[in-house]
Amino acid sequence: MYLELNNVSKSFPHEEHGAWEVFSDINLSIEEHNFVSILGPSGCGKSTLLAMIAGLESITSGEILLEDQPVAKPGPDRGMVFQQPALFPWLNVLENVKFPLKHLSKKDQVTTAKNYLQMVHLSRFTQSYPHELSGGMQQRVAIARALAMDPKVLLMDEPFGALDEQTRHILHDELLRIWSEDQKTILFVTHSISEAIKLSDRIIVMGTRPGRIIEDLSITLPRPRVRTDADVIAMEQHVMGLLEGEINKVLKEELQ
Amino acid sequence: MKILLKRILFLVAVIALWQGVYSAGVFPEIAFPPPVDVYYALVEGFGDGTLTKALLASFKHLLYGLPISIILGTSIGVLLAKSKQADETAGMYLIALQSIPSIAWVPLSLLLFGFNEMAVIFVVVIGGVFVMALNTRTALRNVPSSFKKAARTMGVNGLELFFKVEIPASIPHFMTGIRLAWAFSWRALMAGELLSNGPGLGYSLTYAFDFARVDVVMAIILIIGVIGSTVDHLVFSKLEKTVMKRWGLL
Repeated sequence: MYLELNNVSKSFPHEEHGAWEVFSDINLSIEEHNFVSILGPSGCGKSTLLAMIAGLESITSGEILLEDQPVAKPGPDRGMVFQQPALFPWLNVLENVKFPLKHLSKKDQVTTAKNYLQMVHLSRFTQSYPHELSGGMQQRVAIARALAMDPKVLLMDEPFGALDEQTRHILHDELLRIWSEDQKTILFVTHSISEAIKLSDRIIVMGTRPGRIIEDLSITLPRPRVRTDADVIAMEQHVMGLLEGEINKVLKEELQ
Repeated sequence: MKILLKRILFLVAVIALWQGVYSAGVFPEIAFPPPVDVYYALVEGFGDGTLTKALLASFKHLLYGLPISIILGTSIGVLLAKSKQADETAGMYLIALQSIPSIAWVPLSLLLFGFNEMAVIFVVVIGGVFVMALNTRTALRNVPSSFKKAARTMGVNGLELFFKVEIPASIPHFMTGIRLAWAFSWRALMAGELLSNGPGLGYSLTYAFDFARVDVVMAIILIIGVIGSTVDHLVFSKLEKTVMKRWGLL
């Protein structure tokens, strides 16, 4: 299997209880070239799980294997796009995308960076600085930067969460186009049901308290998927039903 | 342009008020000169070169003191930001030291180095070093964690992370530190020179006071203010603004 999670658990040290468990014994296998979404309410640990795959968070127990190699620390074989574009403001767009390419020759750095900037339709903005771009454009640069490393898997942590609806829809289409060109394996964390259904081949639905996988859904509906399509609506209803109980759990706890 | 006009009109009004207070005889003439006397003191001082010489001496003290305070302050700031041990041990004393007015260091400095320019430079260094250290520490601590995380996912960590991400990311706060270090050093310089044996603008001020040349005293006060604000405006504020803009913080 391409990316494999075996009995993965995460707990944080806690003053009163000794340890606070986010989730335990997560098992997951992901195939190459697949677009997989991890969907769940806040607090289910979906972002933590992604950060563990990225190597940014330690693994409390269990193991994560990428092409049979255990994941221990961050590395350029796993590109990550965050909710915040996290572009470096002191570098222009081209320099930002070149940033992870130091292993290449100067000339190849520029060619590679320009290729990926073209892929996200930002060729005209190579010399601009991040603050001169809109939020959507910044996120496209971040995607180009992550893809330029040619990672084995692209991890996306609610990458469009901070954008307005309009921009979000445009970027959904762009991401699908890029994915069909680049054939990357994408792991996409979101709390939006419609976003997950629109984009993915497969949705891992997570529950909370404790965090766990409650359903593993395959979506074979043809793309592009329109929200008004009867099959899409049926699927949304189904996932909504799964999450309703989980969201209520969170609300109850917060209201106490 | 409109702003400039307003400012000039305000200045004219202040000078008029000054003349008014003088003409009304509120203060004895020996303590309060009319504007025109101060003007002649300036012309005379720059004409015979005494003020120019004093000014150059002051700048020389700054030229030695300010870079030392910036380098030293930066080093302390980096140490405190990077070492939890160092910060827990020494961090809180920094604010205590920063709250000591620089003139309080002058007697100690004179005892340590004697009545010479070293004593003045020491006070200048002390004046700027703590604010520089505090700002460097804040600058490094405020580097967005998203930058560090993103860099780590791109395989950058350790010293490379420090030099390629943390340092450039902290430049805006660092620039604020430099501007404040200048401002504090400039004040410290005047305090140090006031009690020194000269040369320097502060020394000229005491000298004029000793000879009851109140017009020269006023002239020097004006020079100190004008230089302080001009350097801030033309050099440090401009630099800080340019950096802030580029970093998308403005």
